[in-house]
Amino acid sequence: MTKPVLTARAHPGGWQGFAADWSSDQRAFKSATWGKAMIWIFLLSDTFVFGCFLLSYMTVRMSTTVPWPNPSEVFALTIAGRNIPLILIAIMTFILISSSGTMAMAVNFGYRRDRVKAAVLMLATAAFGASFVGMQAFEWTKLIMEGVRPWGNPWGAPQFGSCFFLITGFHGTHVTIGVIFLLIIARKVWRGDFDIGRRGFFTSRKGRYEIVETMGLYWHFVDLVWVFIFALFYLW
Amino acid sequence: MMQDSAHLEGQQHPIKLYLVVWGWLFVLSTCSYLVDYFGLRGNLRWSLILLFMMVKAGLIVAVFMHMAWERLALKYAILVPPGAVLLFVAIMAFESDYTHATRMAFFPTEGSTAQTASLGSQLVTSETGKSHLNAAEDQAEAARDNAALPGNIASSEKKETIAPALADSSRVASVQNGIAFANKTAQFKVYTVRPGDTLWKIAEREFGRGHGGKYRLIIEANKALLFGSVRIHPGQVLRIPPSDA
Repeated sequence: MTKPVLTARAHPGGWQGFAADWSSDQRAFKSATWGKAMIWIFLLSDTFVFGCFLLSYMTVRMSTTVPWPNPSEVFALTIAGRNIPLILIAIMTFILISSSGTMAMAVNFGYRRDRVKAAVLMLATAAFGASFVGMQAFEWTKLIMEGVRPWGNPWGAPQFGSCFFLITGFHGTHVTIGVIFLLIIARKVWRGDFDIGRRGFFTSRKGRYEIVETMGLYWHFVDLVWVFIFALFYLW
Repeated sequence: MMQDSAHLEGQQHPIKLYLVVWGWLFVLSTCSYLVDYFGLRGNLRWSLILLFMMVKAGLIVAVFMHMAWERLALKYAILVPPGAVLLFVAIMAFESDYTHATRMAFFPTEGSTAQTASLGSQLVTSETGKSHLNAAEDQAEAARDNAALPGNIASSEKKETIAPALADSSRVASVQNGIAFANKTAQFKVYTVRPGDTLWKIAEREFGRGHGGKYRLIIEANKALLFGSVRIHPGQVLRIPPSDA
């Protein structure tokens, strides 16, 4: 691990640094670029959105007098004659974690200016993401065929359907958007846009390899949200 | 200049670090799946699920998102505000607990749960001492006692333990059936649940295609048998009401 050499000398660390960074008329985020600070603030706002979804799910589940459908059975699949609880969700979890691993390595190769490896790893991430969305589409279809609706389902509390569609739908939308942006940025990296200083189509600015990390932060966040959904909605 | 320092400061780590974290995420996910696979229950289940969730989230944020190498100013700006969400969760937990208690008190017929619960508690008391054999009297008492009961059956866990106990006692079930259907002369069909059936599918089969939504009628007709759990299993016998009911 590289020690923070340059900035550590220029600015104190720890609590002293915390106070110094936030005080007086200056930039608060010394080490983070504008892009990184902005993506973090965006992710923070997204945290609140998902936080509110999950806590409204908690509210309806705690207050209903009708038993909640058992997710372990609802999401079970019959594979080779055996009924395996929650198996599809487990596979989806492993796929998303795998995509997070490939993304983390893509960021690393991006900073090393190894554009082919970075692009290939981003494409792998996008492929994992797309298969995740595909499985989610399968899961939705299966549940809709079994009669789950936002206003009711055959197994218990009607709020189950609305929570399920809202939370997984919003998360799936995030994954889909992530896949689209991964493809766009992988193409730029592959073409060497950030080496030759090619101007972007939309902003007409020169991009930097930092965008790979920004993309990575978004993608890891999507994985992070799934960790909470998996634990609180599917396992609880 | 600024990019260079950011570049130097945080983001050059050996690939091995990512692979190790990746491996741990797999192990932890497998652990949380096994919690469900082995059907652990109670406090052990909740604490394990939360533990694995927090460790996974911590690894992703700290290493994959490089938060561990950021300056404290950014760490606190991002990690402290979600604490407000936790406060919100606490407030809503308190609120929904109250809502649940109120519903238990005033919705005696909804989903038959409250009724089941009250019957259940009576059954428990009768088993432990007083023996009420006149179940019809029990039923009437249950209806009257509903308003007073929720305090006893506040947690859904208790309900779950009572419901199977009730299901085993065919006496109560048959009596409740008798009460539910005594004043109905409508013709009920009998249906044996097949493997792979859902209430929706049964409704489509019995009431015709496109009438799956009428599964509610089946639930209504079998309230006493299903004991509010609304889960069916192959071999179970259900009453199918006339579709125009």
